[in-house]
Amino acid sequence: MLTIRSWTDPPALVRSLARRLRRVGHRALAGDESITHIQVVVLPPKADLKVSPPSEATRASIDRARAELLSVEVTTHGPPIDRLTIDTGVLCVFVLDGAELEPEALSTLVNVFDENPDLEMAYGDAAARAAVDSDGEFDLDGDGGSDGPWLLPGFSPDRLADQFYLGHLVALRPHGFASDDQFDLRLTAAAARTVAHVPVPLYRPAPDVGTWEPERCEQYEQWPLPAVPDADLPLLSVVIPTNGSSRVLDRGPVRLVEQALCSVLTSRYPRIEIVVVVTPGSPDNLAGRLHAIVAGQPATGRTLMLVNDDRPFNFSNACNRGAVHSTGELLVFLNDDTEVIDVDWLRYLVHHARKPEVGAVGARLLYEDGRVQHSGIWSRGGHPTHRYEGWPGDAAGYRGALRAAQNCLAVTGACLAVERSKFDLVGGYSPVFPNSYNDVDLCLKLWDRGYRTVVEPRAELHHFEASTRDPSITDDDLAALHDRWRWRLNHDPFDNPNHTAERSEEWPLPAEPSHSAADDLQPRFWPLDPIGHVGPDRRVSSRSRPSKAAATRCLAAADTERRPSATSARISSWIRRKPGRRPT
Amino acid sequence: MIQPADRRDADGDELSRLRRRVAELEEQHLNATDAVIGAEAAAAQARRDIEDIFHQLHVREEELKELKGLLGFELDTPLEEIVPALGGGSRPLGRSARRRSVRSKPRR
Repeated sequence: MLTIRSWTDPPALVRSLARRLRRVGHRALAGDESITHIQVVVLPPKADLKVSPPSEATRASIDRARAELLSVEVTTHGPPIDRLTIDTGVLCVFVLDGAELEPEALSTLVNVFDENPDLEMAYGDAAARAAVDSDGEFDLDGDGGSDGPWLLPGFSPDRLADQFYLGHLVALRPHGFASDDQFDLRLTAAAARTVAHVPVPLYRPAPDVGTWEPERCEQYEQWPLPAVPDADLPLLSVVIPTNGSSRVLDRGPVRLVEQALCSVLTSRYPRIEIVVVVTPGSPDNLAGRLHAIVAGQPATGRTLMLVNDDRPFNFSNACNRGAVHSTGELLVFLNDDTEVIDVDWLRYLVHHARKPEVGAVGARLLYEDGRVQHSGIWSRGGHPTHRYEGWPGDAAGYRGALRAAQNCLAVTGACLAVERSKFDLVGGYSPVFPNSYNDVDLCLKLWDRGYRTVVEPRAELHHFEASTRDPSITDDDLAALHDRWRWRLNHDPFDNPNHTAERSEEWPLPAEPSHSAADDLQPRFWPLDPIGHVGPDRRVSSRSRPSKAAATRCLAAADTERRPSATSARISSWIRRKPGRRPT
Repeated sequence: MIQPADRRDADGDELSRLRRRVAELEEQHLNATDAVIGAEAAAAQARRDIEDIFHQLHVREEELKELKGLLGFELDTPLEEIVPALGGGSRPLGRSARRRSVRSKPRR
């Protein structure tokens, strides 16, 4: 049974959906799947994404439209549904008014939900908005003024707080989210435990996208930080390894660690313990100068501890030594060639780091000239690289990726916050990686224990990168990382498989898809399956901890990546039918 | 009760030594934990590599089986029995190759 519900202008509903829904719905329900009822909920462009029962006047208008729809499409059966009270066996698809579903959209979603009984929510990519062929078929090349397809990342729950980035179509398997008065799509999406991202276009966005459009700046609510009293904020240890080197910046010659220390002291945070790990080659008077800086600053609640590390330089060892000598509940590892820009940076980092299901938290780092140096790390072709490195500092990034806090594969160790208990749980930084990739390894170790990584763009610092050590990365470094995490690096869940190193999130997108096989377009699931052993000491909340069934499903999903399922066969056949889309 | 100065110094030294020792042990604990987790990850990675290789092997076997099925041979038929039927002659492969090799030598 296919039901259409609308909270928007009924003529627009008829105009945008009626042409296609009958064909789409009948295809979707033609099989013997467990889903027997698809309810398409058409929402108006509303920023709050809240659905309230329509008024009497609107209800009468909708009834007239439904009658019109019945006469036109004959797709609505059964009594009208006045509330979001839905039985099992129902798939609820929320669509922005004006968006047009692809012919296989609903059948693809039905298959994904059927094959994954625990799945609660799914969303997919969008076809290019204006790129419609004369026969109404989807055209990926984005000609004719299109802004290209929407290639969305994998599920990022921490991004939903800032930005509803899921696009114009969200499918939910409603497990009793009946509501008498109001239904909040954003909160429901953020609370979903198991989510799939289908990396194929499921719809064509609405021509007039309204406020669902994620690239509009006003869409970034950037929820304010919760007002936490200073007394409730934990003692925080900032660990800074340094050899006391100096450098000539645009502002003149500076001793980097002194500059970093001065900027940390200006932070708006009540209790900070600064641990400077002094490595070989440091000047003799460094300790005295640093103590003088701390003694001369007016703010209270700042303490300084100096720790010597006489061993040959190993960034991981230096950080670990600083961590074991510190006493804070939270650790922030900071390079000495950084400088704080936003005085609230620690509050932002702490806000995320104290979440029970979050491990490492990173900041947004800018070069001295204001260009982006770091906004998270992604893996392209198995090679971890900084996202958007070199982009202008005021750029929004692809679909607002530089404006919203979000989950990513890893964050740089130049500024990394983590709770001490989580840091200890995974053995801290690995001395196997003395110079490079120790941060990626730490994030992946945390991830393997169930903690996701967050990058917070509102925590901003300058990073005068690689001014203190050799920035070159050897093949041995990458080989050591691949020995542990090659599988994870080859499948970055927060990147879209249609993006590659050759074709990044920049406009315009080339016509040819980048994926090498249709298997790459398998749905990607949340929570992510762990790579290694998940022991009984796993300290995650029940929400983020996958159940046994979910873990089994995830492993099965990983298995199906190698053995195409009926869904992938359908998706593959769907791709082959599209002009210009041939798996290479 | 006020302790003599030399006693306080001695206690302080001992406390500092013990603190340093605790920090050393904590560092060792971190490194040992990392070694265990790293070994687990490497083992999991190796298992995935093995699974991938077995899967590729399985795919190749299926392809070979399909090809042999098209030709009317059983899967375990030796390749030497298949090649002559494809027009490769009745001689063993090695001998045929040697003959070609001899013929290719330049005449003096």
